[in-house]
Amino acid sequence: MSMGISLSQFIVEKQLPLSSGISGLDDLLNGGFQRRSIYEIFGTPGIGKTRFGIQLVDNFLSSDDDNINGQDNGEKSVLWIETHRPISDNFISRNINHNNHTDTKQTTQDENIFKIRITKYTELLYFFRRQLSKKIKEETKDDEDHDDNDTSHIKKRGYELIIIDGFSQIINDHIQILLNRGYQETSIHETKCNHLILLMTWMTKYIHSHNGTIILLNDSMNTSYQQLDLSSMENDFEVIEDGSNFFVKSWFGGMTNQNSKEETLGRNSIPSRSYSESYTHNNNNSTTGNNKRTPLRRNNVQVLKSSLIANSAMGPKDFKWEIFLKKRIGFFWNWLNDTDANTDKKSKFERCRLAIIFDLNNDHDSSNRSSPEPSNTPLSQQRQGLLKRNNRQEPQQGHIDTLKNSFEKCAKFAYCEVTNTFVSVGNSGNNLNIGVKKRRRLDNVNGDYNMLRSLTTTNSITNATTTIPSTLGQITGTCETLKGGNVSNLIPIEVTQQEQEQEQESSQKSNKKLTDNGLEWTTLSEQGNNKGVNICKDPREETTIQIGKGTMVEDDENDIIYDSEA
Amino acid sequence: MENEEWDLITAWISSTGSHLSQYMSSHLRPTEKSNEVRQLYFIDATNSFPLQQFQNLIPYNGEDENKRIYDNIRIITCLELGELAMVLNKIIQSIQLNKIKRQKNTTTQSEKPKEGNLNILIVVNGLETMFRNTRFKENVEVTHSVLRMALLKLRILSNERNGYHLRSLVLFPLEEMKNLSTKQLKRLKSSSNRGQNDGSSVGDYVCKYYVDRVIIM
Repeated sequence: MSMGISLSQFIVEKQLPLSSGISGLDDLLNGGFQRRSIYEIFGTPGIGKTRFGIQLVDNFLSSDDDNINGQDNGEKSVLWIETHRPISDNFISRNINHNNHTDTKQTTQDENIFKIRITKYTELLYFFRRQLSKKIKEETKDDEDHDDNDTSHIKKRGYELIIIDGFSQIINDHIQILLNRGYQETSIHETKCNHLILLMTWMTKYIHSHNGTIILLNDSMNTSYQQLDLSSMENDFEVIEDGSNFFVKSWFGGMTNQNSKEETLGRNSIPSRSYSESYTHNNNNSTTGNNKRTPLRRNNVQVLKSSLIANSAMGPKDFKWEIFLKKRIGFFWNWLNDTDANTDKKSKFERCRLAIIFDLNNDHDSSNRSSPEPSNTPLSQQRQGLLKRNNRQEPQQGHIDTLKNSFEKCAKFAYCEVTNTFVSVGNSGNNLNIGVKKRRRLDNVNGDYNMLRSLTTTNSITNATTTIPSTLGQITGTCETLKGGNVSNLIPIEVTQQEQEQEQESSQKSNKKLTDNGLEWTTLSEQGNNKGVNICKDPREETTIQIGKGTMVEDDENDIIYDSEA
Repeated sequence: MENEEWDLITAWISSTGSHLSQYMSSHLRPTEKSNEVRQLYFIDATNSFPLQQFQNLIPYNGEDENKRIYDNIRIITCLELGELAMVLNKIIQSIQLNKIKRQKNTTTQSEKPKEGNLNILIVVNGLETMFRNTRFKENVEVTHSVLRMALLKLRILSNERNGYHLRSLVLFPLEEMKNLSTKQLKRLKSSSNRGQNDGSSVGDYVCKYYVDRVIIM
């Protein structure tokens, strides 16, 4: 047991982070994927997780600027662990971008990629334990044995990049096995957390001993489960430190009485609701002028989450194993260009991917958090200011900042067919901008649509921008449940009262289906040439995208219509 | 607040990287006591040293003073309580070695050694993870015993003021504080709808019996 290393030595020996090839994502990750870290990437099927992993392998093996310790590329080794989705032996090397490599370099790269298949939790656990024990044995007889052949050399160095494609599937299978064995459902979440802690402990030991990086490529799942986050909840309160009592205002009060929004912390009930749900409800009441004390209605908003969390062992203790993850990155669909709904009506729209980075350890800059320094403002003034803010109808900037912090950063990227790689596109950076197109219709995507509408009515595009990431995830999640496919084409819109009346009249003729909140799907009487497969016409690209059951097209008036019976 | 003013063992709940690096940098910056050697042991269960924030405060630019600060920080990875106990033993050994060195210097130069020559801050992050990992291998009694011994060692080290000054900081996430009876946390806990009472967490246990002060950010 050593006494660790000094920080100066750590910085000198620190290798450059592994570039993803997507400049926007690299910037948000402080240069790329860091060594001695575990990252989780989740996303919907077909979004390109495996291809992204291959790109990482390519970048890792081809990087020349990783020679701080004098190692050359021949010494690097990558391990690809496939799980339930086997890939062919040469799949990775075939998909690696060989355009810029010489033949010798290409051969070296291919030789340094190792692939194994692990389908069980215990196998994976045993694998890492065995690798570590081998490393310890090699270290003990390091001075005695000087076998210089290449294979032993690679074994000694270990794998500096390990990609586990389908890690969540292994865990989910393991949970199912435990349930079949008779584990109680009440304790399965605790068991999952413990087993993940055990596995990730060995993973952490491995990457610390080999200075490596582990990338977990996971599926995503829909869930309406609201994980209570105490730390973020703490940020939702404004506390005035007067030495005795806390005066607290909460946007998420259990009752929505505008005249008595200010409550003490003791009387304040904090429902386990998402930001968007509570926020929406408060704003809806404020716009309609409803002063009655009405209990909040719980909306089961479906959210896309990593299937490592959203599985049959969901619960509130995932933070126990999440501390081993450096970052969690979610891949979602998005539009390539930010558009103005009124001016770009006839524009061509293209899709791209969006990487949202979730900071699991609350390690973001604390500038938006309440400062520990005592304020110089007198207490009475603070209280007055608090009262004034409570009587406002529009959302506070501070609250928007809190919403912004819940989702960290995002970067757009797209697949370039010329180079066969993912590249950074569009407005990469901290803010995600989506044009909210008027006069479009959207199925009732629970509260998020209403939240968007309330934000746009305040004419504050900044507010709308900052809350879009959550909206995007929830819209995507909801629609995928319904239609089982790619649904980022759905854009929320506003419907005026006059339009609603007109559409109600026309709906009687065209067999339209009305939903709540004046939103509607129109049923088409017939669809041509879909051959039993339901086709979704992309309203912006004028191309067809198969999304499972139902048909969604755009009519002449630029309205999205949906045929659920096709 | 100066390091000397802190209690022997302090628990810091829900600390952020920027706040922590701010505190660590303030501890490591040389003060008027020029003879004082300030050291930091960052014992961690994960790779969570806030390097970027720390570098923003004290840039690693080759200056002698800054380089000395970076040299005096040791990052140690501990995933089990047994490893933590071994690290604490090694810290004790290094303190003893330093003491012997100073005594040698004193005898050769016939100067009186000044008190507080070594100023040490030990930051332990992920104690709950170490506890859980140890629990996988050992039974409850042994695990609790190792935890108690490690914390007692920290206290004994901090209590001794024989040529060094030592303070410890134990970091916990907010989720670990289930039963902490501070007003704010109690209210937060009662207002949450978890409705689960599955015993005390490691954080609760340590805060209740072993730390002198709890700081909540």
